[in-house]
Amino acid sequence: METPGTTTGETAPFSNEPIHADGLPRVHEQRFELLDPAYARVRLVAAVGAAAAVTATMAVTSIMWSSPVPLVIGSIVLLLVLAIGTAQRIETNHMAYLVREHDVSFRSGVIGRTVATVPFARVQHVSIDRGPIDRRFGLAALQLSTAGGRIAVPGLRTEVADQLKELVAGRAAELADAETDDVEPPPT
Amino acid sequence: MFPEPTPGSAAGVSTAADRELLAAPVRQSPIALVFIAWRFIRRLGIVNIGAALLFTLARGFSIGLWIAATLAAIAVLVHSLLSWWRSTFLVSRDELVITSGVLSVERLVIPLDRVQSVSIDQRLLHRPFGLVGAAVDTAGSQDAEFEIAAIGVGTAEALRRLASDARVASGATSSGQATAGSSPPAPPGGDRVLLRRSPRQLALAGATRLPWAGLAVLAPLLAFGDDVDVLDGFTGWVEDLVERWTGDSSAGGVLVIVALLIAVAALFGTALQTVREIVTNWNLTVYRTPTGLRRTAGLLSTTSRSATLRRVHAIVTDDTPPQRWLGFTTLTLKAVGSNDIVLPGSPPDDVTRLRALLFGVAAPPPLDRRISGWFVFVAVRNAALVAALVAVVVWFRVGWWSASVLVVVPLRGLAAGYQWQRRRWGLDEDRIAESYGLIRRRTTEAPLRKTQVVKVTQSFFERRRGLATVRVQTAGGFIAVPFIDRHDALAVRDRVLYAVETDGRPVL
Repeated sequence: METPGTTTGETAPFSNEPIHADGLPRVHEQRFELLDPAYARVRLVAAVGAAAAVTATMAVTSIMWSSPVPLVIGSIVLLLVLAIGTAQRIETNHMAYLVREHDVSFRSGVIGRTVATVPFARVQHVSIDRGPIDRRFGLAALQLSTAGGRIAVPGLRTEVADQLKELVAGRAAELADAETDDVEPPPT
Repeated sequence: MFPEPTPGSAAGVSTAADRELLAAPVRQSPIALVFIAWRFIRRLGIVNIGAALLFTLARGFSIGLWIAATLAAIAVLVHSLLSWWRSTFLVSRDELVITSGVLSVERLVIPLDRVQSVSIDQRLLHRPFGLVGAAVDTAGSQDAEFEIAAIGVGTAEALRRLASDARVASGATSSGQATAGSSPPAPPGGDRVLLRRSPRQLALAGATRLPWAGLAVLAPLLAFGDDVDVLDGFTGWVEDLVERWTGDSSAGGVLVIVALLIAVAALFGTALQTVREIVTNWNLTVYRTPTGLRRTAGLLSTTSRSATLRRVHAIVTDDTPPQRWLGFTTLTLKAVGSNDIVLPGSPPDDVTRLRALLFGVAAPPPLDRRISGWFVFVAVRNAALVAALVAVVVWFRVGWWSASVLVVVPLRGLAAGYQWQRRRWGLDEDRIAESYGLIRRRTTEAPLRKTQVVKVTQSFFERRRGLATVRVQTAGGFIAVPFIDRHDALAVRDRVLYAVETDGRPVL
């Protein structure tokens, strides 16, 4: 609130012309960025790891109890793990993100598709997650939290994730400083 | 009684005195032990404990059990004692410093101007000792950041005043709605009564609720009735009834009995709810404070809850058929975190007034659009799938009679048809709203600019038919409209984003 009276118009020039519904900038017409190809491998490693863990548990328990029950249950779980792994592998081809002047969108899903959008002005904090497998592949996940939900964009190259974090945090701070209680929206 | 916000007392206490009161670490009153122990027990799970108790009652007591019970009691006591002794708070400069922890020590520092609200409530146990409970809420978390089980009224009020002073001071440059968290030190005439509920209104609101609570209480009683001596009379009466009506327990007789039991349970539930409504919401009053709204209510335990106008992110009305005939509804102001302000028995006039106060528009939002009729198809399809599955499973027990389960499919279709007719949504320049429900009707409206996240989702089914679901999430709940044309959903999304991104007003 250093400069009272500042409207968003000053710090964030809003480029689109108003306001009949057709004139609004559209998320779906923009080009989404695909995730880093290495992310498919991260998912693969995770799936193989899970499958290996299930197989090992299955083997150990069936030897210990000398009964086929763990084998049957284990095979079902293994099939499930493989199915989920495959679905996730397919999902990585569709996952994509889009950063615009005022918001970030993330597209995900295999069978059902979701596009979630968070405006910079609503971002409460930004964090970067790097799991052990992510680190091996030089990837990171960017998480944007708001007061009413969050989105997480996985499979970004570390540098990209850092840049995005800087960008989002910077824009969010700018917009927070520019907040005023003036009821009139900024002139367009 | 509960400390009313009397102008005199508030104006008389200076900030300096408040600071002095909170300068040294404040420990809770020993009465807090009871609350801490209760909270601990509740965290273990009342249901679990109840189940364990029933189990042991059925088995009879043994010495091992006694030892276990004693050990558990000692554990609860020690935990509560430690927790009470270890948790203190103080105000140092502009920070609230909270120390807590049973084994490890945690220190939480909250800048006073970040405290959004300090809600104070006085329970029955507090009253003889002149104590209150308090909860400190910041914007960052969904739940209260810090809860004080029992401290003196004066201390709690001092904390509340300090927090709201800090908030006013930090937000002093902004015009219009000030941003103070909780009820501020009321200047003379500062707090205005906005609305007040009479006992009659409360009784009506309670009596016209759906009586599920009664059913929920009665069902397990009937199930385990034989094992509990107290109910012998009742179960005996039921058995007599069954015998008199049925003789050889024919299907018709059983139906009559079941209907009767449901009626009794419903009556019981209604009575229970009426009493509960009157007791918990006795003298329900909403004040317009200089910074927002405050709601106080309660006969045995008094609760006080406040929210700044800005922190209300959606309003919801929720009513049953008798409530609609009588012309009132349950109005909920959805605020960030767990600070919803619930106003049962609200006439349309109150809804309009609060809407005007909160969102600046008195008129209700448009509810002129429908969702696709595929909604009915999906409901029927799902019902058919479930019914078929149940029929197959039951077939092993009862043979072809299991096919009768499929009766629910057309019934579900009928209900879904009516539900579809009732379901509306709408959008104007500033607001989005939806309304649904056949019996219990729920209408939610939210200003577009308070949106936090907006999602457009397409299930497999929706994708093949060019439909989509749009979900607008605010910090106080969400509005989700399924089965609408994909282009409509995208247009809603773009409209929402435009509203958020062109509006510079703060929302938290």
